[in-house]
Amino acid sequence: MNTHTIRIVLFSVIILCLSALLGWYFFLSSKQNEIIDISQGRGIGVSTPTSAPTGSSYSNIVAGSRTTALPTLTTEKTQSSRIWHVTTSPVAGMGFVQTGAVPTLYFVERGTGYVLSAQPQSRTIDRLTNTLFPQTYEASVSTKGSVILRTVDEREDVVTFVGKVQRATSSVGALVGITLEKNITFATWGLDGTRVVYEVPTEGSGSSLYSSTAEGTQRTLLMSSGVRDWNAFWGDALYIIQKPSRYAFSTLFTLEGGSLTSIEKGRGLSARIRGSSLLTGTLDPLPRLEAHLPGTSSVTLPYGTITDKCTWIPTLSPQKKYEFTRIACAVPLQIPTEFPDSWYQGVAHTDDTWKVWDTRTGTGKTLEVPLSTPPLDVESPVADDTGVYIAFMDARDKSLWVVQITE
Amino acid sequence: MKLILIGIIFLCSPLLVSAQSFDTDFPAPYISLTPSRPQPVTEVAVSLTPTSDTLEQSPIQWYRNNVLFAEGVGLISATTTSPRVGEEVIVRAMIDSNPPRVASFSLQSGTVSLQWSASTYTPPFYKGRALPTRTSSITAEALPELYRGTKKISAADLYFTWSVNGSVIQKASGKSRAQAQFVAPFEGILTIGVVVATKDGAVTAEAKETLSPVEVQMQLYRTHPLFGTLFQNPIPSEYVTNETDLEFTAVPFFASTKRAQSLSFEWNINDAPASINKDFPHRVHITSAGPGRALLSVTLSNALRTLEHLSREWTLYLGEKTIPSLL
Repeated sequence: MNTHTIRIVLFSVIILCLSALLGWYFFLSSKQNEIIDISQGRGIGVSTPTSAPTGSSYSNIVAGSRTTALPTLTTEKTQSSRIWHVTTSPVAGMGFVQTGAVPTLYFVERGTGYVLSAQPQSRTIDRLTNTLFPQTYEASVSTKGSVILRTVDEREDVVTFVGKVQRATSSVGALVGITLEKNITFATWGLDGTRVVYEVPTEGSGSSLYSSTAEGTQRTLLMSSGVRDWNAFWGDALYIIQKPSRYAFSTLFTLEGGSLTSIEKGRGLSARIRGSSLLTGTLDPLPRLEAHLPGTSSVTLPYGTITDKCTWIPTLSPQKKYEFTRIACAVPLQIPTEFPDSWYQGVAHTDDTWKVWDTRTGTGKTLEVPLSTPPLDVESPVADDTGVYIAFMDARDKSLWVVQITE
Repeated sequence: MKLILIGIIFLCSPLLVSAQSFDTDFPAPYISLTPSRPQPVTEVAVSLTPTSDTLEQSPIQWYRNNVLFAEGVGLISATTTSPRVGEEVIVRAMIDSNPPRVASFSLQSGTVSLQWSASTYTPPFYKGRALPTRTSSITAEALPELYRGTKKISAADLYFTWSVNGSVIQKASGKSRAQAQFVAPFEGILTIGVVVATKDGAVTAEAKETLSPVEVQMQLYRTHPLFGTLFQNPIPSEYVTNETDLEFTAVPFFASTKRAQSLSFEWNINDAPASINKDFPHRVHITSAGPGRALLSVTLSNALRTLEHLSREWTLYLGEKTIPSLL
């Protein structure tokens, strides 16, 4: 074999090796993209949480927040500053907490049960707890910052935990509390944020409604009923009503000293109460809202929506008392069939527009949001005590949003 | 003289609990209501019964708590508003006949609210009502608000008469029987009625509710390893995902059970039976080695209710971003 032949063979081997390496590179690149796609699909953009103080969950929520993309709330009020996508990760629930003059929103991560706080004004997020409560389906935050977390155990029994954030200044703390009895069907905070109201199913189809402190002590039986599916709301009194359906006629009661007084009846009746302001919703067959304020006639609102999509907005009167005379409602552009039962099942979603109705003036306005805002299916809206912000979940993906009411 | 006599009768009338009779030739009128058990704050017609020629020719004045609200010759009927729950209105008819007569009636609005629960399945944290399906059990509870004077009458002291589609159910009725069990019909509607009354029948109220049984509905939800079952997004009949390892949960809305685990679920993937965890038969796990199409079907049956038999199927495109073209 002469030198020329050896050169050709060596050159061919080098070319073949380079080609193979190049092919291997492209093969690995394509697989890497596939793996990224699958990972994104599995975690919806969120990595597995850890309980480290600076865990990936918190980092992902901060990364998922659209804070940086939007201007901060300074003197210039643009349309884009009105709405804030707090986190793209699913949340289990949220509530505004009284921590001074600045409204603070506490929210609970769906995947981990971690409690985080968000400042709508500065648009910053802070993680408060590192106690893991995997797959928290439902959370309720009291005005005092305590939380009710609800999930299911390995037997699919419902577990309800009531706890408080124990945290030294600017560090992540533990969530300390107690677990109530299994299979509680409904749990919420009293308006003062110190007592919990919950329904426990009893033998047959009955139920008992209890109230207890956040520590689970001083349990009081509020009512024993032959039926179940009760919801409770605290206002100037304790109001109870059975869960709504377009196929069910319901009655709204006040419950005082074990005695029920009927307030309102209607098909698909549901209610939202703050103080002594009552908003009722019926379906006959289209959604119809009525505001009932003490000393005034009932007013029918010109909004075709359900009370699940509405919240009373507090206003501080000159006498330094909170009044609830304005209502914010997310109004669907189109009412889906079998609404709201289909909505509760997730079968139907709505594209909503925010409206605010002032019962004193009898006027309403639309809250304009940027056109770039995706269609939002508002769920569980809650207004802060300054009457500036409303936090809500998008029922499509359970992500958390805050909209500013005032201009 | 006649006016003085009317005045005396008027002043003494609170002592009268019902119509008074003075003359056997002229039957004693009493006041009847239409509707007979008015709801609170609703229009109610008050009428003198029985009518007679004398009555129809006499001037009649109607008073509501001593305030005149209607008058006229032969005005044997008038309209007023029933009081709010817990309040009482005395309605009096002053008949300027010879002799003059007074009929009096204590109008007390009572109300009863009929609540019900169906023993059917909804998943945990469902915000809507569990609805009745064919032959499912329904529990009804009557919550009365009846008053004697200003004192609320305890349900333990009241008599409940339950009815189904207008027929009284004797075995469910009786003193303090505030709850009753019913079975949803196989076909048609179910009208549950209840009349609540004091022993003397002086204070009564009624309520009824018509229920139309719905069909059992089955939805399929993804059970995510991190977030749990995604109840907000049921799987559509054609579902595309870039993942190849998934778990699904079937939710039998309104099946006659308290736990989904007690029902039977028969899963098939591409027409082959799928293996499932017997403790959680409503869940299925699907793993695919690579991109591909899977036909997932499930048949639900309830050993205790043969009517609850339902099948559904879904086409799943696993490891795909879009539905692959058939071309």
